[in-house]
Amino acid sequence: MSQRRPALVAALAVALLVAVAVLLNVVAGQHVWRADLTADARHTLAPETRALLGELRAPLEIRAFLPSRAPAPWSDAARALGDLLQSVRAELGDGVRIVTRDPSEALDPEARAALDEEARGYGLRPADVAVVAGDRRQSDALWFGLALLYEDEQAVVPPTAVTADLEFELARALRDVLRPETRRPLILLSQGHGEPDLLASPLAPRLRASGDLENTRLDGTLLPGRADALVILAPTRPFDARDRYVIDQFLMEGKAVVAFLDYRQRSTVFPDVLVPVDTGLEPLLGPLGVEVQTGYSLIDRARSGLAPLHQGTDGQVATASHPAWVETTALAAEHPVTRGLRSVVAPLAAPIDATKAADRGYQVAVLAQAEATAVRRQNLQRFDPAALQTPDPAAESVGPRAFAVALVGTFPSAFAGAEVPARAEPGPPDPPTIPAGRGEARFLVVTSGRRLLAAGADSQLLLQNAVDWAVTATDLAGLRARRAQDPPLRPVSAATRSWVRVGNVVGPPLFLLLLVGLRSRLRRRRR
Amino acid sequence: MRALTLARRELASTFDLPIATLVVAAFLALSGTYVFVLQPFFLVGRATVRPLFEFAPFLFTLFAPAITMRALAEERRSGTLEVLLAWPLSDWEVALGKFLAALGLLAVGVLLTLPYPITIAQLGDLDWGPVIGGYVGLLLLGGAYLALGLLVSACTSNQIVAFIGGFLLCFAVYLIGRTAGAAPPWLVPVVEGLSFERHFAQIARGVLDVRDVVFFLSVMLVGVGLTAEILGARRWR
Repeated sequence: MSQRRPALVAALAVALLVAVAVLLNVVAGQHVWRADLTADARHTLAPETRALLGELRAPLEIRAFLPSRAPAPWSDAARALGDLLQSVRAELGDGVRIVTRDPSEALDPEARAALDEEARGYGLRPADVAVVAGDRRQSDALWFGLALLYEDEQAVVPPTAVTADLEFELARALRDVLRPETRRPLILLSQGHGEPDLLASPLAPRLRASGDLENTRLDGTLLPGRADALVILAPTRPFDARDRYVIDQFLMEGKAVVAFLDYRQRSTVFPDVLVPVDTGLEPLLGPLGVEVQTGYSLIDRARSGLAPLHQGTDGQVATASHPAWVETTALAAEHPVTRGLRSVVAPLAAPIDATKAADRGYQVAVLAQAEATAVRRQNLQRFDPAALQTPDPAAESVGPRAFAVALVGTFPSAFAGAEVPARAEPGPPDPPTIPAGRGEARFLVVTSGRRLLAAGADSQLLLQNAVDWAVTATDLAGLRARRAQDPPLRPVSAATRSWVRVGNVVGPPLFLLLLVGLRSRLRRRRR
Repeated sequence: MRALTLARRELASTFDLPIATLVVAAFLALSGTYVFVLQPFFLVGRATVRPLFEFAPFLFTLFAPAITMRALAEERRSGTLEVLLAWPLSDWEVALGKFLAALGLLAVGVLLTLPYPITIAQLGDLDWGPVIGGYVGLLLLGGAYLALGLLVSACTSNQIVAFIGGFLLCFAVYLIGRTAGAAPPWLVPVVEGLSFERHFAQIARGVLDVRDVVFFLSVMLVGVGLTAEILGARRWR
């Protein structure tokens, strides 16, 4: 046989092999089958989304802006969004029409302008994507997202590269087109007492899923009636009597208040010293039967999170386990604020005693409390975690371990029968004081604020869920919990930790060597 | 069937050589050190095996060529390849047998990391879904690397060249997904589609998707097929 014949056959065989491989991948790409192995089926269409899809009474049209040529992480997000749309199609069948546009396609200027106009017309905004052009990294605008058209309504799924957010955004958009009559809640964000500006933070887009956000400076004027909730996040200066009156009357209108409060902060002069923070809000909580033990801080030597100690000259933040960064898995499993969360780290939290609130007939939910190993430390002054490693029986005692509590009820006014505090500056006259609630109000208090939000993804979910709860839009809380972090490890002794380390590093290779040695010995003996 | 017989024989003889055992032992020691020591496991304090699935794809770029470097290169150097090819086995069966033997060895290494999730499950509420997905993904990813390593091993009679060539090829496909940002736009889907890391990450989050499974299986098919063709080419020389 000549040399040419086998070479030709081999070349054909190789070409056939590659063609079969490519074909297999193309077919697999068109007939997607997937099995979600996770315990909570977090990569499968959630019951909340299915329920919303089940409410559709007319065909739904989805305009999908899905780029086929986007760098990671947008390519992963595009694939996840494509999978999500396939699940929706499987759920609705003919009840949905999906029109997919590929914004990364090479288009002539006219077609490009038409695509841009169409996307903008739906209310989408382009995502900023980092691309490398030549030797330079630059930012490119990329259309990514969905426009949902249902009857006369439309809503968008905005661009996000976080795949875990996509289904939440889709469900929210579905809710918006299904219930257009439901007014978007107005959420006021308290300012003027040293609170961080949430509107300027990366959390703002996430909080907007719950309603419209507006900063409000408590200047003595009563809060607008169109507002649904007030969020007070980590004030560092006290609310005065007039501020309290304004908040009290807001509650009497049957509105909601969410307060994440710090009671200890590091001194700006001596960073190793903790100084108390006076929030000025405790006189409001007392009449509701909630006592914040402001002189105490919860500490837990068995279960502590990582605290940022100081920032080096290189910008790196040094962290260390800190007993006052209490980490807990003791969360209210069925409450919409904490459902699905695995753990929360609450830095420098003060204990809350809410037993009297339950006695007064309010619905009281202890959302989070430190583990049973936690104690309360009186007058915590030193920040240094090493100083807290040794128990101090004189300063430590067992007491309430709750640090997040939610109340629902028709509350009495703290100013009933009392003189109305005067405004600092003249303004329109006050209406008569409302002495008792006109409707069911909601009050949620967490005794850890600024640092809590920096202590992990689940802590931010706690704030988002709390805002949802405040505006009674908790139907999607389960979906949001899909972003929850992995569950924490149970505390174990130092000896167990060493055994786990050594056992897993040395054990498997040693086991293999012993097994192979035993095998060769047996073989030698057989011979 | 004959390929399986060859694979069984190959795997058994592999454990007679200290080098194979040492390679697997080194893989286990490095994996354990990364997961429990270099990643401050107790400091991070999360019940997850994710660090293993983040590290193993890189480790496999060394581990897989180390397994396959002997497979055909040594047979060729010592002259036993001609003896093997004289057996009543097709080239495909020889290549498949060698591949399955290497996969068996890799599977031993991967399965010996099972004490990690078992230990972690005792310390926290471990979700076994991503763990099962991760292990399936490791076998698929490892299989794909082995197919490439075997291909390089079939091209040379020098073990060192086979190892270095295999490592470079595996490392290139490991890195390819990361070059997507620098690739011209028309090439991005190809680069992303060829990214071993990306396909593996999808499985390791606990989702068995036919697209990822087929991708790795087709890489194995092409790798083993090309190896068979290279073996076949020797018959005509």
